[in-house]
Amino acid sequence: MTIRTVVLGLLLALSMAACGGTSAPSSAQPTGSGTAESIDQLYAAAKREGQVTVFAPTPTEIMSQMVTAFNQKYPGVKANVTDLTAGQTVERIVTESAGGKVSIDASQASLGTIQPLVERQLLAKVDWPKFTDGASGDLLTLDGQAIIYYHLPNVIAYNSQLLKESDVPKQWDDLLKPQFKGGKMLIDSRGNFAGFLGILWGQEKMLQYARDLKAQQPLFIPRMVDGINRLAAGEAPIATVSMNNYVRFEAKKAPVGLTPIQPVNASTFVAYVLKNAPHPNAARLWVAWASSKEGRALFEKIGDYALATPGSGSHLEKLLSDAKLTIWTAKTFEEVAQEDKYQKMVQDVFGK
Amino acid sequence: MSVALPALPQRTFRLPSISGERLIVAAAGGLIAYFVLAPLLMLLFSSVKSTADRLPIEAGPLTLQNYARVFLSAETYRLLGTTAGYALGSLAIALTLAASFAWALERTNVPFRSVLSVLLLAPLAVPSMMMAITFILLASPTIGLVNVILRGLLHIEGNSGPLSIYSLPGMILVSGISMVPSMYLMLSGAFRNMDPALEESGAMAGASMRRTFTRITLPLMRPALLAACAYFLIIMVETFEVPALLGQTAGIHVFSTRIYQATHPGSGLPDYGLASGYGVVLLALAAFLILAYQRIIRRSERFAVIGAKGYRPHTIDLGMWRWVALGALLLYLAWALVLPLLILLWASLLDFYSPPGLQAVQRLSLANYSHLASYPNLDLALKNTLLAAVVAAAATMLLASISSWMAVRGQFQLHALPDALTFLTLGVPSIVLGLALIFLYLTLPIPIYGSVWILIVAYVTRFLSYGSRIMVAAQVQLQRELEDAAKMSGGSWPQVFRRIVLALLMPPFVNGIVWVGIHAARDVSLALMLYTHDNLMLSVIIWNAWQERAEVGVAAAFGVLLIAISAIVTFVGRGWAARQTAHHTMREARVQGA
Repeated sequence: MTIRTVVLGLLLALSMAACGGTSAPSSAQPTGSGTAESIDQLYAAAKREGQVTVFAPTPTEIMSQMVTAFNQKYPGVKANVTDLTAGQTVERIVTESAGGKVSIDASQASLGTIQPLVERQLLAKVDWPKFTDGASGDLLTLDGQAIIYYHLPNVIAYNSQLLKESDVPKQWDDLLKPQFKGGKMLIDSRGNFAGFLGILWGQEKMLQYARDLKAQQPLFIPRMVDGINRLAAGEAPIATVSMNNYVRFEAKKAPVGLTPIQPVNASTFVAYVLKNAPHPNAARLWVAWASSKEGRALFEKIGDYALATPGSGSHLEKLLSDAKLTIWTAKTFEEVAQEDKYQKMVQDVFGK
Repeated sequence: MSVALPALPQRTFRLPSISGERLIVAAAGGLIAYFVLAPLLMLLFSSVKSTADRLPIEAGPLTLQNYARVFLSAETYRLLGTTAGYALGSLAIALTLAASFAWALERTNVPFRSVLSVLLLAPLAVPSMMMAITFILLASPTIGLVNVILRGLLHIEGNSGPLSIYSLPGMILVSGISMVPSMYLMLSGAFRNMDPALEESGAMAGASMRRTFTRITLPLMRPALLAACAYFLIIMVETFEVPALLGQTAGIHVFSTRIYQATHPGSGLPDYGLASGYGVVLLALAAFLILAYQRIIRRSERFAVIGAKGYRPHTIDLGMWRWVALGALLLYLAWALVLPLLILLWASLLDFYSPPGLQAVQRLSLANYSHLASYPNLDLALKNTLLAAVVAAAATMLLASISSWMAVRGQFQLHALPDALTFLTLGVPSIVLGLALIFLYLTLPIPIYGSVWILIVAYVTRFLSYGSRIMVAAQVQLQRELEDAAKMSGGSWPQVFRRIVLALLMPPFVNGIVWVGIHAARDVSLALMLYTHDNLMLSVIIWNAWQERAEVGVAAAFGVLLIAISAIVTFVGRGWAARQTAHHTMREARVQGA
């Protein structure tokens, strides 16, 4: 066999591997899923499976405490949690499904992020109220394929050492005042804090606002997380930040405050189980527990992840209420797609 | 004056007829092809797949739309213009500094050489994102430490300026400075291996030190310098952190920020088609550079300076200029290592970052360091990181050594192909490489998906291009007669390769090990792409602390720890390499004396 033959053979094999795409997951639906009628039956079936693989866009420090509590309540079901962004998890699930080997059982993601999974019918439909007290009424979505888990609002914060109370901007138009021109604002260059304004204001008004905001010569940041750090450090008096980061910085007594600019948008995060999960009962048990009142209370206590909607009674809701902030969330895929489209327009304006 | 390099007969080194020896080269070539072909094929395949709302591995029509989006867009050419200015500017700074430092530290009597050569590599351990942030904290118009000090010294009113890091010159300066350690590592082995006899001849003929440097040293270093230029030009075009944090802040956009936007959408799946279209532009640039490079080294004998005559290490006496060289090195280290390290140390002692000042001093504590010890799964991450760094570095450099030997010495068909292929992988964006590997190992019956071994494969694939460049540049310095003599004395090919080639090229080989090991340990993009519960890496923990929890203090504490570990590893590795080289030189001298 010559070297050329070896190389050509490899080339061919790899070509076949790389190009042999498939549109449908080939792993079979594991047996025994969906037959449990109560949480006790579900636990018994989960124990037989022995473990559950969960991907979550949540810091390991927080998830390890969730795992400890889960293991105490349901010994015999080992939870392996991987901390990965929702977008990367969805991409991984689609790739694994196309490759015919799904390794992930359950996860959580924003409504906008899981659209590819819904389109490919990769989510399991579960009768959640049978297993958990945290999935009633409005908390069930996508026809039982997901449970609304928590909200992540994007807010406009300020540095209290750089800005007097009287100078704090009160509404969106205040950000266009001359006093905030020239490096006075840290703005997320992806525009994900502003896409929803297109739905509320209309496309033209939103685009003009984005252009005016850019004319203020803000400091563009690649991600929200850079905003809170640089705001607290005093690089600029105003920044776009995500609420859970804001809450933690406020708890550290960082010089940050919330502007009353509203409405602000919030991403709705849902918990779900995959249709082809290798451990379907353990996956259901995990999601049922995590979304139960007990699981939600713990999640809020250790990580400030909670529902922000009026009536939820969460600390997050109280914070928003105290700041007199109303939030807007996309409730349907159509709204998600529309918000996404407008967000990309804002991103284009910022990027040009 | 010019020096005539020794003319050597054009002998060919044919592959031995023994099948076992052929097999080693064939196996190495096959392994390299195995590593690099999947990502290359995935890139080309993705570039012609319609990837609207789907991944390239899913069923979908073929299309040229991605190329149309890339090549028919005026934005592409605008981005290319800015990118070219940014990349070439950074390259010019890095090359000037790295080549000067390599020459000074390897060939002259500048004081404290061994310590300085280790310190010069210490910034390698800091992840690029962290390095970019430290430069913001140093030179941001408002909170930058340098600006705060300058405003005080120059009595400037207001809370902004006088310097701004958010500009194209700022980006070029930061990137150029950040690239010096990697480039120094690539060049220092070649400078160290150079036979000083030619320079001595020049000096004896009355040439000044500058003339000797420009007319003898630099021409002999041409393969190493060109290798570094080719490699780092592509790297600069790809680099994301500095353009994202410094350029984007000021509204300056380059090629890599566009790829990032395509592959990190707010919702839905990444736009692999567009990212691959841009990747193919990089691939074309890489192909042009590698072909030009191989053409230049075709007559490798012109650059061969390590011969059978043996030579003793010799240092050039700089006289009083050695203190000037020391000053330049210290100035660089102050800007590239000391100030960022001080900023990292400062940040690691705070719960949230504040510029140095009396108010912040009251908040200093060691809480972030004590937090490190209790970090969940830290032991697993350390074990995985160590394993991935060591195995990937060793495998990469071994394969790179063989592929470079094939490229320089091989006389069989396609002998230079593995080397060219490794270089082409530079054009493959990390996200495409990650996708190719996931899909490949979901499909092949090789159970490494989800384990640390898939990361090792990824790192070998990603870093082979660096290993090859460093080893090809060193290989062309090696005169053929050494291997011929060993062969004629009855040595088998593996013996000749191990005891002659690798032994003489130990300094660049170890430099490559250090570079690959550190880069594998600090990589974030592939580690995140292939991340599961079992193959957690330290870099992922740092990234998550920084990017999800906004815990700059914890991430900075990890950064300080990484710098300390990498300094120790570098010191030990380079010390070992120096001892090996000295041992080899002494043995050679003894043989000659006998």
